[in-house]
Amino acid sequence: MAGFRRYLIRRLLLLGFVLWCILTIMFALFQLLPGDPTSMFVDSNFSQEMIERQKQLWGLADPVWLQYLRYLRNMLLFDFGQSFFQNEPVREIMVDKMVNTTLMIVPALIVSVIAGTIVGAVAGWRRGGPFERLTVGTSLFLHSAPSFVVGILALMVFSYQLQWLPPGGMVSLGGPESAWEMLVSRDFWTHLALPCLVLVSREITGPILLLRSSMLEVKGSDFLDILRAKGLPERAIVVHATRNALLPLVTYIAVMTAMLFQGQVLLEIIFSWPGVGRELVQALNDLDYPVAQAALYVMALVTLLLNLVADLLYGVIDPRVTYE
Amino acid sequence: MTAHDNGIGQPIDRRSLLKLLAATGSGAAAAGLPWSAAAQGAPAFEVEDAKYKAAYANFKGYYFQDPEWVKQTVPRLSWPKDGDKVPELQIIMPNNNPDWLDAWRKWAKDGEQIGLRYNIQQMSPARWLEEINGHRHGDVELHPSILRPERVDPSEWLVSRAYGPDRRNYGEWVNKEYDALIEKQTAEGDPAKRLEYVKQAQKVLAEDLYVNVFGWGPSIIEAYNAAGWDDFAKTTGFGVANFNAFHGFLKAKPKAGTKSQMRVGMTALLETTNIIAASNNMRSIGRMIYDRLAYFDENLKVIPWALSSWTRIDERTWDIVLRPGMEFHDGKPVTVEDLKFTFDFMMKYERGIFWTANRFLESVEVTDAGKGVIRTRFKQPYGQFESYFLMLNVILPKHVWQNIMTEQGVGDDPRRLRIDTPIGSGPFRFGRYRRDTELQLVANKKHFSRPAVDEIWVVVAPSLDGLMGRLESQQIDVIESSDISLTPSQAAQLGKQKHVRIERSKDINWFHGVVRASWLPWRDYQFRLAWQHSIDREFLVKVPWEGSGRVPASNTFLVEGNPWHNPDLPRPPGFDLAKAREILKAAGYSWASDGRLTYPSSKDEAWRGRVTRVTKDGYTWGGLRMLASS
Amino acid sequence: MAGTGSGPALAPPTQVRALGPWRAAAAQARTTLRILAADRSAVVGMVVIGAFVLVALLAPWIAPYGPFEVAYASDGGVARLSPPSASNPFGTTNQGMDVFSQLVWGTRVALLVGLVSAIGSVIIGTLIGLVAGYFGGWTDDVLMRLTDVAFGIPFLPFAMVVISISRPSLPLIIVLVVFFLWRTTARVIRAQVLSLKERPFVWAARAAGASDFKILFRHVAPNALPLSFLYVAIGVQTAVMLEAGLSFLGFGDPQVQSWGIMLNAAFRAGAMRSAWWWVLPPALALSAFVMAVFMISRAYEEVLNPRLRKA
Repeated sequence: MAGFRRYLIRRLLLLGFVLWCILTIMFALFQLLPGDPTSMFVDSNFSQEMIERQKQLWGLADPVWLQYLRYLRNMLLFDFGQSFFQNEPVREIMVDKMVNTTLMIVPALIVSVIAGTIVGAVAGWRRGGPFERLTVGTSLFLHSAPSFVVGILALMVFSYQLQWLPPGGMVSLGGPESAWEMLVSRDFWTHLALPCLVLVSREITGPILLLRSSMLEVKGSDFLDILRAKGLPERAIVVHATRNALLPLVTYIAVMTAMLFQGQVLLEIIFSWPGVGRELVQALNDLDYPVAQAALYVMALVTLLLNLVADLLYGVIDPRVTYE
Repeated sequence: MTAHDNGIGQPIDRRSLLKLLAATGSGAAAAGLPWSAAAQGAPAFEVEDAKYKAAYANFKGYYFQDPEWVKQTVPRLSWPKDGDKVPELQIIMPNNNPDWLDAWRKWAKDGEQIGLRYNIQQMSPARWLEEINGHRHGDVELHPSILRPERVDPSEWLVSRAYGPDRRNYGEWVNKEYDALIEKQTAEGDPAKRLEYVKQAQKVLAEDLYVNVFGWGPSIIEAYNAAGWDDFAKTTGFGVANFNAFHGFLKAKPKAGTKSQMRVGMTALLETTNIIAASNNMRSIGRMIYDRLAYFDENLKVIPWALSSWTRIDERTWDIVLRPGMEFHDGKPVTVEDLKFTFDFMMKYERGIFWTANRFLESVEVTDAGKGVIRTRFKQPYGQFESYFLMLNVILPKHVWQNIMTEQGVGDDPRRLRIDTPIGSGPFRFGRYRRDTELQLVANKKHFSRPAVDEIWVVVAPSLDGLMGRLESQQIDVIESSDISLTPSQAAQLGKQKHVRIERSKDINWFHGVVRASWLPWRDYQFRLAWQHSIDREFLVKVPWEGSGRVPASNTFLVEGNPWHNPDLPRPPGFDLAKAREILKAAGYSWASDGRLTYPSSKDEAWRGRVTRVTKDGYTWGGLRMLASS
Repeated sequence: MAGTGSGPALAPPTQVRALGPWRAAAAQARTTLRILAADRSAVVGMVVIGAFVLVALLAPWIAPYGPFEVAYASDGGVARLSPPSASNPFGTTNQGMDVFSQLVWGTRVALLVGLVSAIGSVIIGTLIGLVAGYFGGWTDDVLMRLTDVAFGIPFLPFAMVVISISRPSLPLIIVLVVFFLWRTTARVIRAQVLSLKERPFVWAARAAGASDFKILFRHVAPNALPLSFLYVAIGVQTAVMLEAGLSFLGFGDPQVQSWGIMLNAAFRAGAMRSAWWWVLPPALALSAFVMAVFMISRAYEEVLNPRLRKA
């Protein structure tokens, strides 16, 4: 597998290069960001000297190239400095929020993929039947409905009207604090239910449609006829077909996850979920540079890593792919 | 980031780099303007009264030292040639005030009828703050009142908007009579005399038409769960559920059958738990945890709080007496040592939000430890002793803070301290806290003004929609109102729920604009008058504010209801476009073929006189002069 | 989005060699339309889109009020948050503006954003994909690295930051969307070109002495075009949804009345849960629009990939 190892190294180097480009673009972006964070203090009659001191403290008075080098170093070491306004190391804030966002995404992802695969495979296998039509129709609709509207509708119906589920947040007042405690508490899962439901309703359409198309392609393959000739039951043949149809899904999952991370903002705001997206919006509003930079960086990094995983997986799973 | 010399002698100036590139490039030259050369060198700005020159010349990176400001100002201080049109008026506003944009759409349309063209831009609040900070906001600076305890004092606005040398005088208006009054009221210790000066200052403002108060409002409308709670006390100007004026929270009682645990909804929680580094909600919530020295009651009258009394010895000295019997949340007693320690701490280190409060403090000494008396001495006569010094200062526990600076190694900047659990002596104690999610405030039943409720949970929902939904479904009891005010239609919707009661409180809010008085066309008093006639204030109250506000009875921001209001002021110019045109015509203006307003002829002596004088007849201008004709 | 990764496998068009490549492409377009017309869902999609286009073109005549015009009652009063009535078929907003008019004006924005961003991004993406795939070597490397960087940047956060830097404006949003969309098209077209490059007709053209550019644009491009059209369709959906998302978060252009901005206004007014007449029209319009385009693009995908067609 020397080819694979070389490929892996090349991809990692590539990742490094792309990351550097992105970091530079983000740095330039933040340099251009207007709005002086100290203007938040102007209202309270800060003296001119105090504002200058504050700028010094935040490193805003240093020459640009110095800020750039410092920025690169910090990002690579995950040392995001101190938040301007929250008085805490940004890394702690980031870890906190990342965990929260992950807690919302992963269950939704798992459900979407598993359920979506099964439904999509069946729909593809039973081509032309009523099940397929229903599935495709519903998927089309769910895919097109704006997620924030679905979110608010769901909130309206299930929380405000029926009061079955809580209106937001991760746990009830005074509930568990750490991630582990949350995972085993029923309270957390009831809070997760609604956002998860909304996420799933949108994300499930991808695997469904993908599996269906994929299944359609596989259905006509020769090897299935061979299996049929061997006398395997239909059920087993479907399973075999599905396994082959899974290939595009594997890479799609990685891409899907990356997209999920980015699109969280809307749902986090609607469901008061204290995640990375919401943090970014707030940081941009307050001009809390370190937090905003870190949030953007983390999301970009996750995206890059997941894309890399997708690429590698594609190569590993499909034996026809070779590495030069 | 603004343009600043970083001290190494290398001006790192992103903004001016970009702008200068534009300025020295084709921009100015293409327009064929004779002053394009001025962009490359500082023009000779003159100020009427030399004593104000320092304000403009000495601020690093501002005014004369800000190339962008220079570039924007030069054309407006240059005498127009015959036939020159009044330029497009620039207005910027933050995008979190949609009612402003709605009002300005109408006003801009009205303005077109008298030949004015507006360029209205929305931007993020941070960017907006930066632009007005640097005086690069254009022609009109828009401002709302967000009432806070330190703003009950009239100085807050009288000084910051209109006092000549103040950097927040965004219109660069310098009326010497006004400034004299301001200086007198700042130093005046006798409240009655001070009121006189304040009233006179309002008269000058109203007459000179520098400020245009668009509306008195929006009204304070709040909603709470009346099925569970009672006795929310109302504070004038703040309402019933505002952490800045927390009498409501102190007095509210749970009804029979309701758990004594109030759930308060906010869109954001604490930005930090270190009160010195506070920039947002910690300022108000922090002062529920720590005790202020003095406070105001529900009618905005100053009342003793952590102090039991204070006596004025002379115009720079006061004796203050600590209230006996107070305890910190960890059980230790509050002594005069803690009070002295707090002042010493504030004077020794960077004091963040306590800067204003202690600006003029000179010395503090314990004169009678047994009775808890401290003598405070100020650097100059101090009119805002009560409203700033006493109202904004808190008592820090000496036993917690005395070594904390060295223990945490933060040099001399306490804003970098990490305070996990603030310990104060206030009516509420800091309980369970989850950042951005919830905060538990436990009632301190030993407090002299102890709350009726047992605990308050502050819950975060990042949108008003979320808060309203929760109130409707009884998952919170009240929406906190220091940042949010409900509109009538929102109140109507909430009111549909049986358990929700809508509460209206007397407000002293306002929304105003200050014009760039030092610039053309605003220098001409007649233009200002005509412009004020073109603003339909009723529209603002009726449509964007949905009726929840008042059309101003006079051009003052110390509105009716505010204890400092001057009731004898003239009415503001009414909405009358025909009259506006008449005034402009009589003042020498004309209209070009495309309908745009054109300046009077350069030979119009009356106009030149008004523009040089800026202020109304009877007042003296002390600010920027028109540039010598080129 | 359909077709992630390396895209669907294309069946080579068999009639190509009989006519010149561009004329063949035109003939293929006609065949495609015929096939689409036979697919019921595609027809529905096309009808819906046609309706939207009609509404957008006739907006000044259909909409009783301007996009920001307050609908005053006859006595000068303002009807706020009123449910559908004779005078306002879709009711009014909290400012007293007519929802129906806003919906109609919003159609223009949706079409503008959708079409301009999609076409723009596909043009850029196709060009990059063509050049990278055909010329290979350094050009390919550089262009693909560029694409990689684009793939690594998360759209919504990046767009929010950029909009915070300057001002929220529709052209800026369109540019941002184009910046986000081109990368998928580039990758897919490149993959397509890589396989087309080895086809006999390219060898033949080269042997006949045709220049690289001629081969690229006369022979290769028309065969890659069908895939580009697919991505225009996909791009339209994505662009409209992205603009709606940005506007809902408050980063949209406030001078423009789009469906996303309508939803944002309803949300900020706290009226989303009660003023259904204000929320449902833009939400349904968005869904219908995206769904219609989606149906067309799926049917088109079946045209390109015969194995997906019904037997």
